[in-house]
Amino acid sequence: MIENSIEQTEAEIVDEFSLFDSWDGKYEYIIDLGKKLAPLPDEHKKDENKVKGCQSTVWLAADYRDGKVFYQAESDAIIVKGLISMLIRVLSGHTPDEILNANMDFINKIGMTSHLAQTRSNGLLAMVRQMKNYALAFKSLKFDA
Amino acid sequence: MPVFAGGGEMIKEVTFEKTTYNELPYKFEAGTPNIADAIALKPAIDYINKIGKSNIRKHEDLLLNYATEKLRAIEGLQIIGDNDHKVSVLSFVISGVHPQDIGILLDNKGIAVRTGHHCAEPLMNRFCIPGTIRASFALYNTIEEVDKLIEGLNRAVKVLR
Repeated sequence: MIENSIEQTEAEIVDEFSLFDSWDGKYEYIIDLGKKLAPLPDEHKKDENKVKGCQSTVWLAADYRDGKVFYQAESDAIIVKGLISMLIRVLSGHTPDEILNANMDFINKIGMTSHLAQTRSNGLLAMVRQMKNYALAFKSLKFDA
Repeated sequence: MPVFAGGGEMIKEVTFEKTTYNELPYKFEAGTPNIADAIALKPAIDYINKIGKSNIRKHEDLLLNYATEKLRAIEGLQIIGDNDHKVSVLSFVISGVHPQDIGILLDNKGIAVRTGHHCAEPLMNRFCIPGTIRASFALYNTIEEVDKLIEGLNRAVKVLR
């Protein structure tokens, strides 16, 4: 399997979204992604894994294996789940440095930040921030060892 | 407390040596005061009085009753708050669907509702609900708009379930 860089995956998603000519289609696609996202094991659904700044409850857990960060997440809201599913697809399986340097421009390019109401796009950015925080934490672990 | 913006009546005296700000509240009211809204307040009151508060109430009740009846027909929908003489605000939840998802999909159709805790998180916890969807009707809303809300809700529920 050829592993995509973060930029390549972002470009893929932008391509996929360009196929839809309306937001109805985009949302149905995001909802579909949300329904397909693997459920988060109950042991990860604890308070410290909750993402602050979201209207819905979002749990985000991360593992660090072989120098790479792997994310798992879940939410009680399905559109949020679809959005996290995209974030995981872009960032999971990359090194802390790659994750920290990712500009996540695809979120703007697919029109998400301008289409969502302010409080909701803040929630989306809170998820990205939390993912980067994990990467930063794992990176500093590496230096401690 | 330092000022965050300058200009207008917030200044008392300026010399090369020092600047003295006006007394409170002027110190913190830089620039042109909100004259337009102050002027607009009178026509707004005239408008309300011309229509008449009882007529406004009648119209809001009409919309509320119509919307309540239509909402009750949606499967799994529960109205939160059913006082006899409530204002024309409808708060509800739909089983198996998160309020935020409904809010985003309605927003996409140009239908404005509020979703979430409505600054009443302890009450939401008491009812064990993640929040509600809330539609409010005013004198300028119409029966057709209620129909659009119902149509949007039915479509959103279908996509989300």
